[in-house]
Amino acid sequence: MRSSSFPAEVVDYGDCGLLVTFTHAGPHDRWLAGQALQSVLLARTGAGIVDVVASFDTAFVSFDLLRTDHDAVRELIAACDLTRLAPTGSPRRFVLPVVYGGERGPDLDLVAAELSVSTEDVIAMHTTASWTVRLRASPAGLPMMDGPALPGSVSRNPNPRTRVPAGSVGLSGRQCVIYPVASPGGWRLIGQTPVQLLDLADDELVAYRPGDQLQFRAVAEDDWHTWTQHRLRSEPEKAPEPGEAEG
Amino acid sequence: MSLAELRVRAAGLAWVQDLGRPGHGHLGIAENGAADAWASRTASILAGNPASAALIEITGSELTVQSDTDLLLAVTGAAPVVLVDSATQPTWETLVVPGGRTITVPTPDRGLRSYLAVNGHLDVPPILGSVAPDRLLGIGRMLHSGDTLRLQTRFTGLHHPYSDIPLFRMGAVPDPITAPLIVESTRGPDADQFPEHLDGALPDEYEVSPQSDAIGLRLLGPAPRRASEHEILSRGVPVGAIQVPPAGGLLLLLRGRLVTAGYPVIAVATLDSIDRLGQARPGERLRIHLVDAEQARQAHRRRHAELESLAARVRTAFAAAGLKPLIEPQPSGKDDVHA
Repeated sequence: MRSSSFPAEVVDYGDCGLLVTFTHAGPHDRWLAGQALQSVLLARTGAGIVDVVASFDTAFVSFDLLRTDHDAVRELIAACDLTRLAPTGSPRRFVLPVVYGGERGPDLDLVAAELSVSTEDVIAMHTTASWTVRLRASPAGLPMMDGPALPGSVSRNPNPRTRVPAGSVGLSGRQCVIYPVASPGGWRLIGQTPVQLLDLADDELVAYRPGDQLQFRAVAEDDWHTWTQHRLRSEPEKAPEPGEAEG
Repeated sequence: MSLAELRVRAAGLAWVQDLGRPGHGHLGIAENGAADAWASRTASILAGNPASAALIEITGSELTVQSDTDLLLAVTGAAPVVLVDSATQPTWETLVVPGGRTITVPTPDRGLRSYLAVNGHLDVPPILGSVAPDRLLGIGRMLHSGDTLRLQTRFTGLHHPYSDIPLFRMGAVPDPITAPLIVESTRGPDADQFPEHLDGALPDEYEVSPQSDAIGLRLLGPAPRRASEHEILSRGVPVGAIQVPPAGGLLLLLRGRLVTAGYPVIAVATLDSIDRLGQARPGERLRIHLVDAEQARQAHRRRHAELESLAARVRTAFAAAGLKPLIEPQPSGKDDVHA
């Protein structure tokens, strides 16, 4: 077996999968390696690759059991050149209005208490810096994001809600997510966006990709209805119009 | 091609189904698709369709449909028989049903899901290449009493010279529904965190909890003791992953799973076992047998070869009965099995 050009451990992950855990020194490099492996391998469906789910520091590679096997896919992974660790395409920026607290974000007070700051501080921390999409997860391409250094780690809800409304913005650990569709969920909910993330007519269902930046903007409950017909679109390259999503 | 209409006389819990959306995990989209893909593929082949064709999945209930035109069809899965008007017909077999008669797939006594495949192409628009329901996306075609499903078919009837309805004996192989259910699994990546289960073996018997759904089965039984407190960052998880959640018991992920999770994975059920789990009812007992990847691969390849030889027998039988090829092989279905 040849040795790979990148630091990683590869273990069996079921009868038709492998789990690649990247061991680069920095978390950003581990994420970039996953992105690079994903884009290289997704082009190799001819070699029996079915899917690659790249996350913060891992990639789950699944393959067609009729056409290849663990050893052959290990070879394929080892042969991938991930030395040019750059995401494909330049990151785009999205601005997303959020109504914080109250019924829209029922855990805002709890999160503030857990981080020993005021609810205004939580909103300020959440809206000042932008968040980077690390992966599109479930359900429906839910963006898992890294963002500003919060003063602490946010706990998970020990009793996950059976139904989190679409558009809910949740925190857990130091990560943030937005629920594109109503679903069960265990993240702490601090707010909700009226903008629709999911577009079933879109080949990828959602507009953002890993590496893109999301900037949250606090809006008042009274403005909720003015956004409900909006779909998420990236800001134009030039002439930015902060906060103005296209309808 | 001619148009047939399938009128739903009485629908329990039934959806239009196919083999789902594999390959979309990187978009956060689960496979979904037929819970018992073996039964689904077999039904489609027996009906003269590609193995991946759309069909009807009936869960723990009865379905009655009717058509004005003659139909070529097959029922597989848990249902013990098919009722054509009041006559009992075999499951796991190709059937010709004259127009006007009612076709009833009864509620199974054992197992959970049955499949009704009808020769032709069901007129249901796909999303991301599949008609499979995805409850989280809010998509899928559920059947209601009074619905009409349209079908493009090449089958226009077949009258045997001696008996009015021809009999086929294709030799399809049902997957036995055993008690307890046997699940084969390979060692998971986190087995080393469980001192009593370092090899990934889970020797105890488990019970399927009523809190199970298309996302996963909750298994009631002993919780393996974990030696590590180490938190796992969200990462991709395979269908079949047997997770050890802190709340106790086991969580076995099915085809509707969320594509990422953060619980340790002690073992992973094999692709073939996942089909068997499509027949698991709440309250049922389940045993997990450890196999290695090579055994799992050989078993899966043998099963696929069985489907290919079934498709060949179906082709031969249809030719002998004077039926023209019913469906053109689709160039997209490269891994598919065609009758």
